Amino acid sequence: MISIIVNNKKYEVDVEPEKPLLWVLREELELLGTKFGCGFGICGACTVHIDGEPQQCCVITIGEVVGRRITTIEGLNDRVGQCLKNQWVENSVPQCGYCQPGFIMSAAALIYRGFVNEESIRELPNICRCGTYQRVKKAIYTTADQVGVWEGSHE
Amino acid sequence: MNNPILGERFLSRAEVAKLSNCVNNRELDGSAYHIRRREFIKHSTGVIAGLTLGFNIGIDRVQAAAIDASPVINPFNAWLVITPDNRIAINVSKTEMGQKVGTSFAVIIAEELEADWEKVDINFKPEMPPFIHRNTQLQRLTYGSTSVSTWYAYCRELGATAKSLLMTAAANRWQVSESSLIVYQSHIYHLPSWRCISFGALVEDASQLPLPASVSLKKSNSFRYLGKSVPHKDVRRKVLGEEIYGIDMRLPNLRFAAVKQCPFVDGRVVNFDALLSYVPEGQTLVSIPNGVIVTASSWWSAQKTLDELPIEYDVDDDAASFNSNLVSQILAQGLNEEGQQLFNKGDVTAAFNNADTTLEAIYEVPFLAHAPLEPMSCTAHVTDSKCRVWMAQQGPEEAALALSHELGMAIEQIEINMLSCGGSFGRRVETDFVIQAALASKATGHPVNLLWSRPQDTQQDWFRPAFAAKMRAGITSGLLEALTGINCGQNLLQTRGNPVPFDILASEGFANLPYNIPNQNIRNNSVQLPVTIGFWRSVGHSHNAFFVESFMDEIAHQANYDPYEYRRYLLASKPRELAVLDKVAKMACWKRYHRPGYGLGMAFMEGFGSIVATVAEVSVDSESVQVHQLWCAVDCGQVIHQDGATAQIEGALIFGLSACLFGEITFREGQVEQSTYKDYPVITLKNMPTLHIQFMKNTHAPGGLGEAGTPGVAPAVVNAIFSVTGQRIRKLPLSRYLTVNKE
Repeated sequence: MISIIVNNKKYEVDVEPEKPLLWVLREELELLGTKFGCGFGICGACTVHIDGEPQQCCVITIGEVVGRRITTIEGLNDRVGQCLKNQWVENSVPQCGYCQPGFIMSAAALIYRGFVNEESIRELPNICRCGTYQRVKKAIYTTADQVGVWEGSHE
Repeated sequence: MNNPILGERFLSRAEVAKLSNCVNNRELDGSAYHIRRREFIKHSTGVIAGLTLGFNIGIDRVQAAAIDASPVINPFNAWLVITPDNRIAINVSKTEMGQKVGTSFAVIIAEELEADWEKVDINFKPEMPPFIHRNTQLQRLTYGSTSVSTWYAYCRELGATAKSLLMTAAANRWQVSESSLIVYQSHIYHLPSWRCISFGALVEDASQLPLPASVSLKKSNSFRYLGKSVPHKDVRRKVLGEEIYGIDMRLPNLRFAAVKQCPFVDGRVVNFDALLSYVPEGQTLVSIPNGVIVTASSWWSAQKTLDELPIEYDVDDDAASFNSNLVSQILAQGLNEEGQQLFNKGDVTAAFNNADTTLEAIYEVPFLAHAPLEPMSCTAHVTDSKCRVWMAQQGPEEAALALSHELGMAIEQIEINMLSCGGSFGRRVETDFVIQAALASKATGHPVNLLWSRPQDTQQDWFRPAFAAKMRAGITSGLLEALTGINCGQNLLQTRGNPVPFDILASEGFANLPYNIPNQNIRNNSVQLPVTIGFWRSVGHSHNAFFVESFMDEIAHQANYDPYEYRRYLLASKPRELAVLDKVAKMACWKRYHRPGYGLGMAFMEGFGSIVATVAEVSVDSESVQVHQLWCAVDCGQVIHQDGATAQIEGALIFGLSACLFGEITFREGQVEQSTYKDYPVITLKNMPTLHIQFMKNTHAPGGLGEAGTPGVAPAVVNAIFSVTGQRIRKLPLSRYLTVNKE
């Protein structure tokens, strides 16, 4: 049995230690908000927080995260999470919506760092094939401004 | 009577004053013209009294039998259900893949119905029997940016019919004339007697009434929802991670399946029996026509087993040596052949003889993958008597037919359930992954959730065909007097057994140019290649706009004209087209633009019932290019949902830009060379330009929007590069020649 903490809840799972966290979340815990996009840690659809840091969990094994705090889109309910989700709704960001939970997790981690500007937004790796980036930018900028960590220009 | 639970009450003085004010300002009076109703059907649902309306279409043998046998209406036809709790369910017959077709249909119906948007629920028919309708216009297949343009009139009449029935019911109840009633936000008011009643309180009465012979539709100047931006119903669900996509379906005893298909353009597995010994206990190996499937209790375990299988393929020499150089050669040869005439006007031979300048150019575009973020996925449960599938796919009728054929089951035994698509862009028209899920379930006896790996999704795509074109222009005194063009590629409809007289899709945006050119001869030459091709966002337009609009730019420069002014001259007799062109020029400050090292390029296209003009701004600096801004002006007639329409163009522009900069599927030794977003890159925030989008305001019939924004991007960008460097790029993608977005 492997013990992990997801969204402040402790789970015991009976899986091989090399099974990627993504598939533990989706298949064992049925937390389906974290998506599979590429399986190579490129697209960002599976982004979760591990001890507050953004990680693409399709390439992180369950064995690597024993005892560490994992947060998924379902558990992102702090002020930053709420603000981001509201801004995502406010700007009607999602089209198909498949990449958006991962995108929001990446954005939250960026805001936690306490310093957001145009450049740091540009560095987010997440892929959105529907092309919602312009709205993503605006949603992140507005949230960063609301929580007082926007260091970029004010147009 | 003043009982809000029953939905009927007296109004307060303030409410009467407010509503009277609205009436005086004519905000609530929009009834414009009467039309004869279409053949709607109406049904009073048995258990919960409600008003159900739909279209009496698509009733073939199966459906007719079902309806005769059961008092319950065919659920496909139940588009609109108003229940006593005053909720309105709008059942959408199309597939949701990010284009917000649900919002579009619901907004149109709600507009005519005078519904309270808060009380509207949008359903994608979670369960329905198979529905086979061969009328291509009315079928459920979601394709070709046709949903809104096809169903706009139907949806309006549906909403208006429901409103008419509710008004009659209210008039009867209060013994007043219908003309003295006001309908507003899911309620009906009779101001002289200070009375108000909800739709919900009227549904039982309304469902007993005969359908009206004619209904009146609203005037566009009194539209409350159309052309505005009501909140989407799906957005919060998607933001919270609660939307259910193809990958997310869960059932008791579900098994997960991974698939490996033959990587060669043609070939088959030859050692299936030998592979069985490599499969761990608890997993099952299933043979499918072009590969194998492994099912397991975890998708990751199934994929791991697949990755380690020593699969051997039987591949003939031609397939094993197929490569992209060969594709270019075959296309180039094809351009020198006669081909088939698509369009002819005037006398090109004479016009070329009289021309003082001639210009010729050859263009080529590669195969492209769709690369939706959610790889192909489907859940199926096949038993002896039934096949149930839960799928994110664009065509339930095609899927039901294919399943029936593949499994040897009657169409009545197939049940299709629709889920949201994690992107599609034309990929999910195909039924390959649906069939695979059903075969895996049939072989194992379990419900199976099948998911493709990213490399499978990239390599086993139904690609946008590679195409080439040779264009020739005859210019006399600066005027474009003659144009010939031949394009060459695989015939998409023919590759799937459709006996088309000519390549219809290759002619889109090629044979029917909006420009006034007196002498034209436009041809196509279809070639055979062993590549599986499909419908990629904007289909034929995706390459033809590149050929035509790049060449228009070349012609304008050759004739010493500004490319914008040159297009104006060619569109002089078309005010709607000219207005779009002028709009984009104004948005981009085309006439006054001057920035050293930067340049603008323009493209214009008509397709899907819409008119689109695009301008790109690029900078080019020692072999590297960056796209900074895109401006896009769109005339799609009546805009249904302003924010949704803008989002569709945003997405279409980015989709076109990804292809223009990076998109290329190549073949080497018979196999696709790309496998993930690493070697098939797409736009991310890093190389995201600023987008500026505006719509023309008019009330023409709505055109399609999902695809029309894509084709103009590549020519606009390439034309912009020419304006900076004088270098003409005639083969895509740009990453072949230039570093894209060097930091």
